[in-house]
Amino acid sequence: MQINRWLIIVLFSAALIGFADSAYLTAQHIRDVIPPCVVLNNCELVLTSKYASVGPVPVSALGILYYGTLLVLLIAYLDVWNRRILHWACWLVSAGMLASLYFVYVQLFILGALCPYCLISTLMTLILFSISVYIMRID
Amino acid sequence: MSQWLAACSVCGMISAMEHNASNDAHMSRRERRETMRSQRGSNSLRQSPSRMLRRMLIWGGSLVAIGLIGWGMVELSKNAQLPVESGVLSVAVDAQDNMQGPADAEVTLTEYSDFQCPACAAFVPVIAKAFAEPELKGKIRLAYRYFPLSIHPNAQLASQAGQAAALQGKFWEMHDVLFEKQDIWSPLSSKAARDAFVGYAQQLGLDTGRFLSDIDNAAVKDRVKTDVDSGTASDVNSTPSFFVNGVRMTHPQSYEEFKQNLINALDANK
Repeated sequence: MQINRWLIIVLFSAALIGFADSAYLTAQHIRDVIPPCVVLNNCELVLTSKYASVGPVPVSALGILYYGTLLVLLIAYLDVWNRRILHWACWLVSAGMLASLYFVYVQLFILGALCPYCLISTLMTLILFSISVYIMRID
Repeated sequence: MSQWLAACSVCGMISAMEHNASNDAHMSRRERRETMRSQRGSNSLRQSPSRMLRRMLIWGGSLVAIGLIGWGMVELSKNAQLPVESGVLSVAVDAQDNMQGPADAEVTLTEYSDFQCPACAAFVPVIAKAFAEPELKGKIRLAYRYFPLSIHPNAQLASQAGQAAALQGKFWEMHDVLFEKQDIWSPLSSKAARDAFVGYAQQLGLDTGRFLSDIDNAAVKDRVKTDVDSGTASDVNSTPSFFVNGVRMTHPQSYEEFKQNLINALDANK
C-alpha cells in the first residue's frame, strides 16, 4: 500500500527537530558550562543528574546518533524506495520510544523535575512512533 | 527557526526523491502509477541530466542541511540565555558569615548557594581548585550565604542543617557532606532528609541532641532568612551567584574565566 507523502514529511520534520534539539543540548554539554539553578526552571537538575549520561556519553549525544541514523534511513528510503529500510526506521523509533518512556519516568518519579528540552525530544519520538505503528500496521 | 527552514527544504527534496520511486522494483505497477499520479504537475526535476546526479544532489543536499542544523545549534548554544547578572552586594560580609580563608584576605568571594542545587555542588571543586592556584592561595576567602530556592523541597532544611552545624563550629564540614551526598538526600521526603542530616551530624561528631533542637530553632531560621533577604536585595535569582569584593560576577562559562575573575580582583587591589 502506498504511504502518504505527508507522513514521510512529518517523519522527516520530527526527526530533524529531534536532531536539532539533541545537537543543542550536546553542544551545551561539551562546552562544559555549569548552568545555574534558576527560580522556576528545573532543566539544570535534569541535565546535570546522573541519569543525563551513560558513562562518559551524554544522553543528548545518543539522541544525535538516534535521530541522525533515522534521518539517514529516511533519506535512503526515499532514494531506493525499499520498504525494508522504512521498517528498520520503525524498529529504531520503537527503541527510541522505550528510551523516551524511561526518561519521562526518571524525570517524573525519580528527579521530580521536567526539562522542556527533553520533553521536545519525547514529543518528537511520540509523533515518530505513532506514524511507525501506522506504517507497520498497513504493511 | 533554522530547523523549520531546513524542514521546508527537505520537503522539496522529498518531492524530488519521489520521482525515483518509479524506478523501484519493489513496487507494484499500481503503486508506481499512484506515485506518478501524485507527482503530476510538480515534476520540474524530471529534466535533470541523470538519475545519478539527482541522487548525489539528494544525499548531498540532505547531509548539508543536517550539518547546517547541527552547526546552527552549536552557535545557538553559545548565546544561551543566562540570568541577568549585575548589581552589588547589598550587605557586606561580616563576622556573622560562614567564612573560609584568612580574615585579612585581599579578595572576598561571596557565594549565594543552595545545598540542593546541582550547579552549586558542581562548583565546590571548581572553587577549591581556584583557591589552590599559586596566584590566589592565601589571598582569598569565601563567604557562604544560604539561598535555598523554592524549586528544591529540601533546600531550606539543608540550610538550617548547615547553620545548626555552624553553631557547633562545623559549618564547612557539613557543607562538604551535604554537597557530596546531594544525590542521596535530595529526593527524600523532608522527614527522611532530616534523618539523613542528623546522620551526617553524627558522622561529623556533632552533639546530635543539640543539632536536632538547633535545626528548628527560630534563630537558625532567621539566620537563613537574613541571607535570603540580602541575596534578594542584591538581585540574586539563581544559584550559585558570586560576588567578588562585593561586585557581581557574571556566571562563569569556564574554569579559566572563573579563575581570571578572581585574579583580576586581586590585581585591581594593587
